[in-house]
Amino acid sequence: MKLLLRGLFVCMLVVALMAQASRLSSRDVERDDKARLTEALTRLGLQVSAADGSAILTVVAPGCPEPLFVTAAGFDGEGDGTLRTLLVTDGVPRYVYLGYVGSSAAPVAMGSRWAAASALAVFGLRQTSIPSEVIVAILPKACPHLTHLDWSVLSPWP
Amino acid sequence: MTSAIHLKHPSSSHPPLCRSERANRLALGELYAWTVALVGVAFWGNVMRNAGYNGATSLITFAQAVFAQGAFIVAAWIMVAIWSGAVAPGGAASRPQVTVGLAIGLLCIIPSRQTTIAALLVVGVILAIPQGTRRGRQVAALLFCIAAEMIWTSVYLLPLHHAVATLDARAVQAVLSLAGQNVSVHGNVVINGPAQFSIEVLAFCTSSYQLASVGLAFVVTTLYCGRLPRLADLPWFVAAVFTSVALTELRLSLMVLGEANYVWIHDGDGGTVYILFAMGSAALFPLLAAHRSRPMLQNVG
Repeated sequence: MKLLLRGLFVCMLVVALMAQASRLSSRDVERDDKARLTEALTRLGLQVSAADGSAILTVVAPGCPEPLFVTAAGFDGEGDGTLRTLLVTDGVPRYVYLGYVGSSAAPVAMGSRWAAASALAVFGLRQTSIPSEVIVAILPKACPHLTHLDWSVLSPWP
Repeated sequence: MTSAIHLKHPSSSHPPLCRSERANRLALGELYAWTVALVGVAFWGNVMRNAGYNGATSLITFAQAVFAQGAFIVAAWIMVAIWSGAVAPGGAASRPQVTVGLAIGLLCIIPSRQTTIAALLVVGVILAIPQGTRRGRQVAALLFCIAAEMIWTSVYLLPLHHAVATLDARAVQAVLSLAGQNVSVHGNVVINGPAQFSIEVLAFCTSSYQLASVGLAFVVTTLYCGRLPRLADLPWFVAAVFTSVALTELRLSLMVLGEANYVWIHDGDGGTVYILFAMGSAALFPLLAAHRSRPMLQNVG
């Protein structure tokens, strides 16, 4: 019994090490968030016209004379200043997070999606890196047709 | 097993069987040591996974990840490793205890932060039960602090630290106004107009983010001094927390003064100076608490 238990614990230690190592090697290589966003915007039929050093993407939509702006606001407060400057403009905001799309940041809706995705990731049922930033698109009021686009592609449910 | 058969009592077969069974059972101390080892593997596995070295893993990146955890986390695990052999009273582990130990082991196999936190808390609760040894309670205190630190610095509490960031920004404005500087604040952004420089206070830079580490440092230092933290230490702990907050506000205030200051404090030698001050103050107050309690113990004795 004693030997069996010792063997079991040694096996568990080895399996725990292997599980950690496998998660380490399969860890998502840090993606270029801007490139990913640009790709998603292209899928929506939009074109990124300026992606300078700032955290704001300036986007051109067909049939819309004014540009729209896309940025990311991190849970840690990163990008808050940028977002604040965008929100004072006369645009319609679209908050996107893990499939949620809304005109405001809904903490309960986004938090529950984050919790569900995290729980699924624990059991390896979804991708392990849960985004810790909300994508915000500021749409020009002059182009109401843009609100009907499927903005969830900017931060899809994993 | 053989010796137990030789020791068989002529009148009854039960005592030798009991002895044989006991010899075949895992000692409680060994069971706890295995459990603590599994939790340790899960914890440091998490550290490695979250180290973020773009996939390149080597001994150097592992060492960097260990040091990045901070001196007090490393010290806490060294203490756990040294004391884990003496966390349980003598005797064999019962079947429920073995089952719980195996269940904790299974929890540690899942490579995630949440399960590691759960395992740390469960082991901590088991070791903290009144029947445990003094060493058991000391290890439990360390495991609770490590779990608390993991929770406090996790993504779950980033919104809380984010909220504190706006308060920190206001505090920096107040400090710099006292120094005659003209700064303005918008949310978590502090703008130094005359210097044409601004900083964004992120969750990881806030005064609240460091507090779990201050608590861990307090417990580690108190245990190193040979005793468990007690209620009388609370004023010293509060002093340690206030000092940590004051140091953070001072650091943020100095960073707002200009880009050169920011680079020196955030990315240069100034960061090391800040860490040394923070570590020194975190260790100083528990040392003072331990020093103050010693004469009282002598009087009682």
